[in-house]
Amino acid sequence: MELTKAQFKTIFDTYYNPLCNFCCKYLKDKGDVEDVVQEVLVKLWQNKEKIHLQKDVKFYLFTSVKNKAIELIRSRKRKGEILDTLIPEKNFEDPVGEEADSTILKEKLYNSIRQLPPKCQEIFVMNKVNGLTYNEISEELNISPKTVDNQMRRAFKLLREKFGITK
Amino acid sequence: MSIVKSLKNIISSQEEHKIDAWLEDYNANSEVLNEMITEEADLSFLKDYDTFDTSSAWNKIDAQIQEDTKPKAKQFSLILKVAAVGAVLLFSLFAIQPMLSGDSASGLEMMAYENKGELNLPDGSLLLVDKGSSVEYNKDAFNNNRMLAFEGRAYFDIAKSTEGKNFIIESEDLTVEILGTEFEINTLVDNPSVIVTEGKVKVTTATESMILVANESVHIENGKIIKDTHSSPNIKSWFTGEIAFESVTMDKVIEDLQSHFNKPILTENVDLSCTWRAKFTNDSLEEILNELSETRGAAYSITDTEITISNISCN
Repeated sequence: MELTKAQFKTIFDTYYNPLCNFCCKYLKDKGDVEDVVQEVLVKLWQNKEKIHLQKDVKFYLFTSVKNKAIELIRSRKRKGEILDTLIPEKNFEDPVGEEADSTILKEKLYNSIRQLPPKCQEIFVMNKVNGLTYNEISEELNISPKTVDNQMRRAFKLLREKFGITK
Repeated sequence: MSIVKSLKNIISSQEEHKIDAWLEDYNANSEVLNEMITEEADLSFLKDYDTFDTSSAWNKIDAQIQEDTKPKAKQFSLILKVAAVGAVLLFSLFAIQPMLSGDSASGLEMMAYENKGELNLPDGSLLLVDKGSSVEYNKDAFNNNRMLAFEGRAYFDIAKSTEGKNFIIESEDLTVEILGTEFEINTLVDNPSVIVTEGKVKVTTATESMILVANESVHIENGKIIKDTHSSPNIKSWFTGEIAFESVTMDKVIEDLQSHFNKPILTENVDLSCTWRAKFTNDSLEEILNELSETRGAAYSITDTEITISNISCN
């Protein structure tokens, strides 16, 4: 396939973080995770002429990361470095596609939340991610429940604008 | 509806993306995202989502792919010149063909340059080739033999061989074997020359051979290899079009101009110890000589075969 350096950089920017998060499902150590993802990306560049994509570059990358991670677990198990780990099945077909897309959506959501103003972000995360109620948040942060409510509305508004849908 | 379920519906419809569509793909899905942003939504699945250090990761990746795209190690460069293109060229091509044909004649590449150009060889070496030059090699066998037949002028930037194979350039009057270098060969003039800018080169004629190291140059006269003394910063000027004289003496200026335009320059009544300071980018011979006559009072004449510069004194 044709791949310019600029395209490769965009692929990196788009997929590096989601690929690492995806790889965390298989490998506990963050260093291992990054090594695997970097290796896969370097391979993509080095073999760009030889690679013929069956689906898209996203599918290729997520599948490669998964398989590379499994290889690493296998080789460590063989060497007796780890015990009792269930080795996930390698596959070249579907399920990776779904996992890839859900990871990418998480990435987008995560990034959008991180772009919220600090106070707004803190309250939104406490409520939506950590599951605290408005009352619990108001006690925790020593602010009125009304303020919590206002900040939450603001967060929803900003996120919807971000995703390009206005209600 | 769970997030994963809502994702599944959207995703199955857009699996068919190739590389040129992937960006569009990334910008899609805002509807799903919007669905996730509701009063009732539970985003606890983001708890484990992490941020990795992308800039340090990119530096690592970039460093690896840089090494990969550049020639392994800059080792050689030389400039080779050989005389009288037409007849000699034909002769030498016939003479060299059997060598190149080797076991597969099919991969034979023959290139004649009407204008200057660049040539990337299969082993990662780069040639800056002057107009009127020709290059021949077997592209299938090249990585095994690293041999090419060459007439004309070129600047060679030769990649280090991973298997320790020397790079060999055959020309009518001489053979150049690269032992580790950057150099120029010019076979277009009466006295072919080899200039080494980096590394080590072995030059062989019918009667003798000599090893040259960086900043050494030779020319060939009647099969004899004669060492030159000068090494000029304008070594690639004929290719880049940029030529500069930093208060250098007229003898050096004339040598560089000869090399730049690949034409002999005669002098009459010129004090060769006078210095000149000037810089040109893609200027014609006339433009450069006009500048010389304005700043140094020189007169000049140009014919098809030669240039004559006269009347330069230091004041």
